[in-house]
Order: sequence, then structure tokens, then C-alpha cells
Amino acid sequence: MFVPCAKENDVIFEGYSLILPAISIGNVGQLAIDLLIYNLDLKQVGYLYDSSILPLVGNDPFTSPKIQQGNLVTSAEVYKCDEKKLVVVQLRAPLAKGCRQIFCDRIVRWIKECRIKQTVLLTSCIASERLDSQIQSGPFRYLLSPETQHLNEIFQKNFNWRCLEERNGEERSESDVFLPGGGVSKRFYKTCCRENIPLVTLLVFCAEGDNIPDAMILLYFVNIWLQMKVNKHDAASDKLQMNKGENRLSSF
Amino acid sequence: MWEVVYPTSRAVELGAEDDEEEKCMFQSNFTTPIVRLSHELQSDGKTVSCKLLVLAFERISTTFIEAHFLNNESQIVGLVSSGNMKEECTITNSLRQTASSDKTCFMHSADGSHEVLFCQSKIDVSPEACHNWANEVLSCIKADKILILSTLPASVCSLNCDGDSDRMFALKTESWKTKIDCKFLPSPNIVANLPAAALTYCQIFHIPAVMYVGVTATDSVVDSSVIEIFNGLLECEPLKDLPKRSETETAEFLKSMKIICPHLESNMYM
Repeated sequence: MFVPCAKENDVIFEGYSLILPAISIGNVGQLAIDLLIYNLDLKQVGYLYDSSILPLVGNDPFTSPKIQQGNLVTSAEVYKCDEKKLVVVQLRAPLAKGCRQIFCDRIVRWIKECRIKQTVLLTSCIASERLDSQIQSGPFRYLLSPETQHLNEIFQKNFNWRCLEERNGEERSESDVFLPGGGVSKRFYKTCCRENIPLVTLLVFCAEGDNIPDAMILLYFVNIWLQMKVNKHDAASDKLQMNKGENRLSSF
Repeated sequence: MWEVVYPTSRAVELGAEDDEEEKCMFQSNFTTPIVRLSHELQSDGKTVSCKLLVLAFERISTTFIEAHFLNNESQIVGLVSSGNMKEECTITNSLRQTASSDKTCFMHSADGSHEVLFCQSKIDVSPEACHNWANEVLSCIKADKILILSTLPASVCSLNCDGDSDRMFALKTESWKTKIDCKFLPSPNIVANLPAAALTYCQIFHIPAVMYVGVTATDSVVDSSVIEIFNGLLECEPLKDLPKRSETETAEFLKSMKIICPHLESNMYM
């Protein structure tokens, strides 16, 4: 599934945190990943090449439209930051129909093979599906797999974050969660629970539209936790910078 | 009066996330294409080497190649079938796409040396099968350079076109070092399906490749002027040095071509 950029490159991810998006409502996870790549100036180290991801090509979305270098962008790329021990996956195309579980299984197998420390899934859910109690608070939520339950205390006490509320009314198993508009998020969460993968799912409730502010909110919370200082121009600042030629480059 | 409108999403098919649609392995095997190459082409019985492979996708690109590079002496040296027996193409099919049933993917050699191969893909390949198609075809044909021709409907593009010169754009792999004489496809425009799968393969496996994307108002060859979008390439690397049909032959071919417009075939008006 993972193919390194350079032929002789032996890329090591052991002990790194993996951040990846779900293709979800408003493309919020993907937009947040683009912000992360741009602000941390991440270096591309490879591709995810798999039949479960639909093909897509375009031009480099991180340069100004007026200065096109002709750097090709593909549907699934892998970036790395050795300093912060981060592996970042960007997905720009939807998953092939009928291949969602296969995608989840293959990603999880890759996570295991690489000995990734923890996985962070950035996603979004439909705001109109919120409960009354959810409307009364902010749009950000988190969801932990059994392997990351120890983070509950930090998230709630230190950061005052809200865990995704459980839905009442139906009998649900531990790994059954309600993530409308979250695309593959639910399936990925269930797969990680089953395979004992440490997964932190971070999400915002949103509606379709200009979702860059939602992506900024999501990345703001990621930064609170992982302390990435995501501003390449001012390391002391926590402010996110938008790419001047900010372009969506996702297939939908 | 108020109406409850359910949200829509450009990113995900809402409500489809829980659907059990685990047919992929079956589907994947079913749609793996079959590549058949003539024996004289194969060096080791499995793969073919050539200096240049031209991949033309869909009607406009394939017609451009036919009009300028293929003639009666061009040999069919291989074919790609869908892997689906119902759609199996036969090597006796016409080279011209004059009937809806004539959906084929043939490999042509313009001269006897087989150093330049043209892959004329007129078949419909589902987005889910494109990965396998590119993988199968490009692992069989080892080319030093690959040229991909494709089109994008203007209706899905976000462009500020100044004129005719802005109707063709390029995308290239990192290994492609030859100068490109047109603009790169501006973001956020994207190319999907077979052309994208082919260029992705080339990028990942370090094959020098360039894709020229013609932005057209129609996906049909409604008249011969549509294919002129690619005419600039006739004077550029790597097509400029290839043997071409004479202008008269090209004009005759275009004149003789049965122009069809599939959209008009299916309506009720005369």
C-alpha cells in the first residue's frame, strides 16, 4: 500500500503519530490536513497506492496559481515530520464503492507494520443531526478507542473537551457510534477497536459550505493536544496561516 | 409553507456509510483487464518494451491520434479487454468508433519497428476498475516515455480562458524532464478515472510521463474541428518526430469520418 517517493528510500515510522482524514461532510478533515501540510511545511515521503482509493491527479495545491511548478499531486500522499514525529496522510479522492472495509483493513495493517504509536482521525459530522444537548455546546468532539482511554482524563480535565455523546434508545455495542456524514470514520473506528489500534477521532459538527473555518477549528484542537506550533513563519505563534493560493483539490 | 430539506454533501454519500457493500474482492477480480499482445512484440513472453507509449483516452483524443498517426498500414499489436466476458472486444472490430457497440482498446504500432505504440482506449471503465487497468497495462508495457491524451468537459472546469491557447493544459510526473510548451492545469481542476490512474502509476513508479488535457465543450466528435485542440502537440516533443499522415490524408480521414453525437441519438427530435 505504501510506496516511498525515492526508489532507495527506506522510510521509518516507528513511534510516530499518524494523522489522517476521513472523507466526510464539508471535506473538513482533508482541509485540515492541507492546512497542516502547508503550515508545518511537511515533506512528502511517499504515496498510498491501492485499488480501494479512486485515482485523481492535479497540480500542486500549495503554490500560487500564478507560479505553477507542475508538481503532480495524486489521490493519496504520505508526508512526514521527523522533528515532531508525525506521519500525515492526505486523501484527495473518495474510496472505491464497496471497498471501504478493505481500505480500513489495509490502513490498519500498514499501521501495524510501521509500528505507529497512535492514530488521529480528523473527520466531521452533519450539524443538523445533533441532539439538543449537542447544539448547546461548541462543535468539537472527540472519540477514543479502548486503547486510548487513558487520554480521557487529559482531554476532559486539562483541555475541557467534550467526548462524543452516546445516542440513547437503541441497544448498541461498545464500538457502535453515530457519525452521520463521517464517511468511513465509523468503519475505521470499529476496525481499530477490533484490531487494538490506539485511535483518537477528532471531529467537528458542520454543514456543507465554505468549510475552511471548520478545518481551522479542528486543527486548532489538534494543536492544543499535540503542540505542533503550526505556523511555519512564526514558530512562537499558534495562529494558522492559509495558503494564499488555497485551493480545494478533492474529488467529489 | 416550510419544507424540510435533507442535507447534501459533495464529499460523501450521506446515509451510505453503513451500507454493506462488500463486493469489492469479487468486483476487483471481475474487472481486472486482460492485456493481449502479439507474440512478435513480447521479448520475454509477458512484457513489451518501447521507446514511447501514447495513451489516448476517449473519443476526441483517440480520433486525433487516428487522424494524424494511424493509417491502413498501422498494425494492431495488442488489445486490452475489460475482463468481463459480456464486453469482450474482438480484434476484428473496426478501428473507427462509429457505433456505440464499437468500444475497444487496441494497441497500434505506427511502423514496423514497434518502438512507438499507441493505445487507443475507447472503452468505458468504471472508476473502481481504473487502478487495476493502469496497473495491468503499464506493467505489461515498459515504455521509456509515456504521453497521455485526455479531455475534460469545460462545464466541470474552473478556468479563466483567454482564448484558444488556453484550451490545452499539461500535467507531468516528476521524472519528465522535457520542456512543456503549454500551461499546467491550474488548481483546483483535477483529472480522474483512467488518465489519472495511468499518470499516478507513472509518478509512483518513476516513469517519465506527461498528460495533455484538452478542455472541450463536448465529449463527442461533433465535427473535425474538435480534435484541433491537440494540434499544437504535432510540433512538440515527443510527437513532432513521429511519422505522420500527410495533410491530405488527414483531411480525407476527417471528411470520411462518420460524425456521431451520442446525445442526439437518444433524443426524440429530428
